[in-house]
Amino acid sequence: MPFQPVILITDALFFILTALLVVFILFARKREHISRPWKKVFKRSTGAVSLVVLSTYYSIAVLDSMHFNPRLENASTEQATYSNEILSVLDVFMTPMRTQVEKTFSAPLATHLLSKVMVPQEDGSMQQVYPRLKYGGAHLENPDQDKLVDIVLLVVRGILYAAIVWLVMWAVISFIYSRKVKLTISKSISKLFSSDQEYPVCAIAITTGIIITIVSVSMVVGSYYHLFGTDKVGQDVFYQAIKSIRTGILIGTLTTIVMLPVAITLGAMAGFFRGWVDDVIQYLYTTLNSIPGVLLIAASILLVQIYMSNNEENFNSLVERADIRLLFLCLILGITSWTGLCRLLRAETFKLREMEYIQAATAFGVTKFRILVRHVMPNFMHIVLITVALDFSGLVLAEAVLSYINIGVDPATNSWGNMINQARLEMARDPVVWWSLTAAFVFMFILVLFANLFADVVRDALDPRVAGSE
Amino acid sequence: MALLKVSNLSTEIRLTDRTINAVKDVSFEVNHGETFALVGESGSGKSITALSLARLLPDAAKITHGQVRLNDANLLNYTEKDMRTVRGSKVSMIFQEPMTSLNPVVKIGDQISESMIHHEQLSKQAARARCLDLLNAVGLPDAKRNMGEYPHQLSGGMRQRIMIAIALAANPDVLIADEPTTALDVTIQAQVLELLKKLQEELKMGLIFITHDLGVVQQVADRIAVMRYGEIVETASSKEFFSAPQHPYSQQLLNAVPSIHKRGQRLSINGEDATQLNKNIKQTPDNLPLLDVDHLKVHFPIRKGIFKRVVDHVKAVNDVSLQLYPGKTLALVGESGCGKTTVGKSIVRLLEITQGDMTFQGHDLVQLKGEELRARRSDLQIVFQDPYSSLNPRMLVGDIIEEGMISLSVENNPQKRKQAVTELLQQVGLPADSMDRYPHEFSGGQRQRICIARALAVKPKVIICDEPTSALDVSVQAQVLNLLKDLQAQLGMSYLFITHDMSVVSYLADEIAVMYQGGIVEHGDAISVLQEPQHEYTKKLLAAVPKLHLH
Repeated sequence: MPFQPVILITDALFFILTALLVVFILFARKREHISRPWKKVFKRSTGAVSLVVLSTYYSIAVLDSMHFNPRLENASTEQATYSNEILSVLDVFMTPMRTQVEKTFSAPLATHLLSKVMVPQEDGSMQQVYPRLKYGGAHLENPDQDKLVDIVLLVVRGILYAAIVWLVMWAVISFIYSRKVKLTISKSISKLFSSDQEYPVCAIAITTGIIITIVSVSMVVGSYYHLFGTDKVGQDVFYQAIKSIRTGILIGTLTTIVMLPVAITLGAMAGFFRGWVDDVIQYLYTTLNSIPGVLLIAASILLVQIYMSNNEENFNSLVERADIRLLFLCLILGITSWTGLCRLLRAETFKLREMEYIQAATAFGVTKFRILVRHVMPNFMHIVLITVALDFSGLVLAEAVLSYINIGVDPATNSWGNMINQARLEMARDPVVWWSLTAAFVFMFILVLFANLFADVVRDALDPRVAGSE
Repeated sequence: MALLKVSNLSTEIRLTDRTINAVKDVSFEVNHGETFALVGESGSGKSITALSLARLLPDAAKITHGQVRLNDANLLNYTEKDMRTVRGSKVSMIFQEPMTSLNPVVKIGDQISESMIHHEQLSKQAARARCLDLLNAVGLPDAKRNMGEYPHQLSGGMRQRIMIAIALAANPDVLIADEPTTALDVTIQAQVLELLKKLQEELKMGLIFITHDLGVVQQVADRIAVMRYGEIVETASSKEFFSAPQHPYSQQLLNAVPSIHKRGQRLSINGEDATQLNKNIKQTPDNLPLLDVDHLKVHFPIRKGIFKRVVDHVKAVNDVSLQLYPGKTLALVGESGCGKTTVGKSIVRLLEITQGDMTFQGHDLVQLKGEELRARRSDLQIVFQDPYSSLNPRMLVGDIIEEGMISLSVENNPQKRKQAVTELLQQVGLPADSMDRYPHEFSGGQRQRICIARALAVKPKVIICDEPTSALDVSVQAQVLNLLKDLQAQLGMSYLFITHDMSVVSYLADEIAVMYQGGIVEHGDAISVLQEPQHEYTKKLLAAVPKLHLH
């Protein structure tokens, strides 16, 4: 085997979450009352477009979560030996960006380093010059003249590749569609893209076109140049920003998994049983709410760090240590953020338990547990989904803030927060190194923007008060 | 010349996926001092017609053509600014819900005088004096004090009087009353109707009265228009209408109203002839009561302070005794807040009983706990008032009906259970494929049938019907009442029928118990209670009910 799979704990959880998502989709497809509002989400062009963008981010995170140890080449023996380095499938795609490490800072698309270095000349004297980069634009004979033309040509090549991929993709979709509606290809294409189509096909086509172009151009240009420059140790900033996607998505989703069971169980119990159960749960979340969240997070991250340094033998690699710290960050964020949802669900359950169908169920001798599971919970799920969608972007931003004050993810983990944290010093340099901050900002901004847009559409579709006013 | 002349008015509501023609080509006239009633079932377009007249339609609705002439000026040509003065001074409206039509944080006096200060440039003192006159005119007992009070301090009837006072503040030519008494108890309803009638005669207003209640119509209206599917199907004077309705739909409406004269018959629906009910009710030989409630008391504690000390009790039910015999219907009658629903819920043990005894076929019900209580639950079932909130929107109808059978182990074989559900659906007159559909796909009457099927699923001997028809239109009510009667004849169940509607009671009940302030004031055979009431309250209640006289 050319590789040995490695499953980190967060990978496992992330895959479980993905599996749950698939199960939910299969479950919802058969149930009309669940799938109806979701169809409404896809029919809005905002919803469809944000979903396409979000799934692009999500697939990058999935690719980046498939980890393995590559096989060492030099092994002459029969016994295969594997490297200790942990790579992901995404790293394979981005090999040039990962491996082409320069000496230090260089600007986006530059061919020379950012600062002058003393270089011995042919005549033996020393002179301060901007040295050529080892990889960025290394193929050019005369960078000052040829760079612009070269980049334009590369971009055109990227767009060409993108056009081919996009056309093939939509040809396949049109073909499948024509089989479904039983029309000729040309007729079904005009029907597929017509304005009276139920789903916003045109918007989806344009979005996928833009995304495929961006991916293709950055792959082509990125293998000859550093798209977003390099950082202090010469690593490609674009590569870092892409690798940070997994961290962002993981924080947004895993935290939710940690939080949901607690919030749902406690919220439903407090609202349904009332009395002393309600009192205990209320005191619990009021107490938790009155402790500053940052303090709790800082304390627990410190605890984890001390535990890891005392038990170093349990951790095989830096990646694993960083992974444990990421997991604990998700856990502690989950523990501090369930109170809001719990409060909402408690109030909703208060309302639901007075509904007559719950009283009817009681009159049938249905057990309290079954009433909770069959009658109460399905009827507040819309609140859960809306809250999850709204919280996601908040959590991605929270990671950035926490890493900025050094209590976030491990400094070795790629994350937007860490990039911004480093940029703090870089911004003070002269000339200013602005690209780390910009790259982190752009990638995070797009994710959070589309997550918020999506959350808005989800709320419109699921909120009974909004749905009722139509 | 007519005061208000509406000709060929059409209004449509544009939804995202379709357009509804809510009002189609409606024409009518209202004269000075005349009461014109718009009658129709829910969804017939009567409220949209009223809103079109005052141009107060929601954004989605639009008047497509027609004329509304008030004193010969077409209101539909007015600008929004002109329309505001018309609404303040010439056309006023009263709405159904007195609870939500008043601003809860503004004092009554300020709410009434606000528009006078604005529109008529009255001084504050003058406005307050006017306001006091108005409140006296609508018959508030202590008008001066009421002016300084907030809406929540007043009862529903008083609030509706204040709404009338606000509507009258500017001496309107036309008053549009949209179901003004539907949310009120019958005794209060009688007072409000009397007040409206008196004020109208004094002020010579045109009154457009919108309602679904034919009894009320007969009491107040001079002329009547019946609406269905957005169209007026018949316009006639009150006398003609009630003696010889012309249109088949009008006849249907009148026939569907339950009354004491139709006892023992099926209510006619869709013009079919009234047929005799199957009278072979299975009689048990001994005349022991099936359900015996003895001195029942249900008190709700009022708790205060951090230790939740019980400071007082709300005595919702205070000493109620009643007996229900096999195959009979006992009606528990009373106005809102008298504790009749509490009695019903206590019998099926949905509420804690404070004191008293209840036996079912001689077995004690009060002390039952846990498994024993669960086992007993199949004998006593309940059907609720609101068919919209009594079905879980996230469950299939089949699962809803099955649930009781599973939890009470009535039928443990899934196949037989499916079959039983099919039979039940057939029994209540729903198609068998309803099983795989969700409650929101059904209308109110169909949902109430599902509720009845659900209760029947566990083979109960007593069904508590808690106002099962009060949320339904009169023709749908007739269907549900027929169904209940048929089922009683087939299965020999007993009903405890909780209601405030005397016409339903007079049609359905074998015995009547009248409740007032948590206790039973009169109890006896239905005919004798209705015709020779003994207690003062019963007399008052019966007098207040608008009775439908058919000639």
